[in-house]
Amino acid sequence: MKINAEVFEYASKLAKLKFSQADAAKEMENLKDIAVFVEGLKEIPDTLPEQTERREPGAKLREDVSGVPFERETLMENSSDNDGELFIVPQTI
Amino acid sequence: MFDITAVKIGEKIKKGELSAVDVTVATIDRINALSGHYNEFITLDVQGAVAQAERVQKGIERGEFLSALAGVPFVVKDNICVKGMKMTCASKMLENFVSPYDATVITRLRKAGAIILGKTNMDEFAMGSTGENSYFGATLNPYDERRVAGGSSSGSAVAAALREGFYSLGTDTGGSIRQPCAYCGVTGIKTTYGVVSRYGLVAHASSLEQIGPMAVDAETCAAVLDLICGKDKFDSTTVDYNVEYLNSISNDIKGLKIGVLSESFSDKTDKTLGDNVLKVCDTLKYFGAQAEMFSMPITQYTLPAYYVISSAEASSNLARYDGVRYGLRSNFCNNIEELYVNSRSEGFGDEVKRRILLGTLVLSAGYYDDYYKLALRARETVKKAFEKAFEKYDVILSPTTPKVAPKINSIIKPIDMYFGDAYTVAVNLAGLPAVSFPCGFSDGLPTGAQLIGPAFSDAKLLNIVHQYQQITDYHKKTPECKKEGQV
Repeated sequence: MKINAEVFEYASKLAKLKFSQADAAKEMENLKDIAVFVEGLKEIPDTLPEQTERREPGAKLREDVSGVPFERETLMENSSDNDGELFIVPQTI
Repeated sequence: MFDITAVKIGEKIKKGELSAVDVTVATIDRINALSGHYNEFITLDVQGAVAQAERVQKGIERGEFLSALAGVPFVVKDNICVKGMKMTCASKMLENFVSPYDATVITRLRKAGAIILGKTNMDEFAMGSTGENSYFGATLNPYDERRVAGGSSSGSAVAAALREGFYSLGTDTGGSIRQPCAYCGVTGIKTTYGVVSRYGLVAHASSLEQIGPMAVDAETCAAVLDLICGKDKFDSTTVDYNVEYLNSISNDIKGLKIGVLSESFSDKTDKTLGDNVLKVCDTLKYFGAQAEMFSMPITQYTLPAYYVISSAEASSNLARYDGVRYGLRSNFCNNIEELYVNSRSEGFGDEVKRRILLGTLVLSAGYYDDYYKLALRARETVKKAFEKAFEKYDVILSPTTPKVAPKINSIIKPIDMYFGDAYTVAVNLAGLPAVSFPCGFSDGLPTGAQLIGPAFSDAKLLNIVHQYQQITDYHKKTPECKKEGQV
């Protein structure tokens, strides 16, 4: 797993997290260490059993695309209550 | 009062020699004298606990509440729901969240007349092995306040060690009950997956975690399991498997075959710690057990497999914290996307963000086959390796941790912290039960041994540890508290 600024930004977007420049640099280094560590999985002998996967053989995973999939106006139409900018969520506690 | 076990306290309350109210008030006094120093509590409910004790005491006098632990106070890790009480998961994200319902384990303990004192400190969202990753600050080790208490159930282990409550509830995703038990010199069990309901436990890695008891001794753990185990309609992964744990701990263990896991005695393990664990075999031989070393090479892949799978599940489980439904909501956002991103970025701590990032990556299309799928294969192999080992041995013995509790802030890189879980994560991957129990000291710090058994051998493991604790006294040692004179 190669961790660089592009991969880090990709993962951050998918995870809906943002980092300051300094934190991003620090966390990228940590993630690089962790990536080396999980590479160890690739050394598992070939004799290991197949795990019980439910995915159809050959089926492709969907592409992960970050971003807002719907227009803002469309989303707001679904809100039971809003202040024009954001959903108003009823207090439950 | 604090030198005797929870079961004995329960007996005395039933006989009228002690009242639930007196026991609860004395325990609260003890907590007040000690807790400021070790940072083991996040929430204390003094008034609520006394009110519960008064109600339970009246019930006991009417002949209700017949359980072994009726009237006995306990504490709860702060990722388990207790109705009306704050449940923070030691995170800024849930700093002000009040649970609207009881977890099933809490419902069952309330029904049995147990008294809830409060919620204990932990690593944020149960992610950590030192107890340092808490929004409310690190929990200190009662044997040496310069050292960590372990994690993630740090506060629950410290409370059990200091007898601040007669038992604690913790959770174990990759060793989070066993590892702090080892560092703090107490006993704790991670049960077979499905034995204890997870309803009302804040999800971290759903396929790995279990709620379990932490206490001075195996007898108390057995008494707690009697009350919290069993099928739960709110958790479809629970199994209909009921055993009388307390009645099972006095069985003969003659002829017991112990496999000693050779990989856990490498040069990565402290020598004195390893020697203490090996002495457990000698002690159990006194009861007619046999022991021999054996090897399980797959153990070298368990740690990366665990971190891939647990992070993947965490990234999915923690997606719900978006600032909309509950938890922290950022004030700095211009649209819904910014609301999500800013709320999550402000609310989660560093280690949580790190694991969400890793989990997101290993589940994404470019990495799924290379990492997540491989980790699942490793998990299958670990299960099979244990099954094979249990064809020959009744139980497996190893150290709980490679080393004693490290000093606070001494672990700089997250990756180094992960190695603290080296001997515990395999059990979670395989869904097996394991008990950690005190087996001696190294430079004044407790050392823990771990017994692993086949699925549903939880009672048998507690039986073995109970026999061990009949002729050893490591579990009876208490830390020399900072304010010893007051307790």
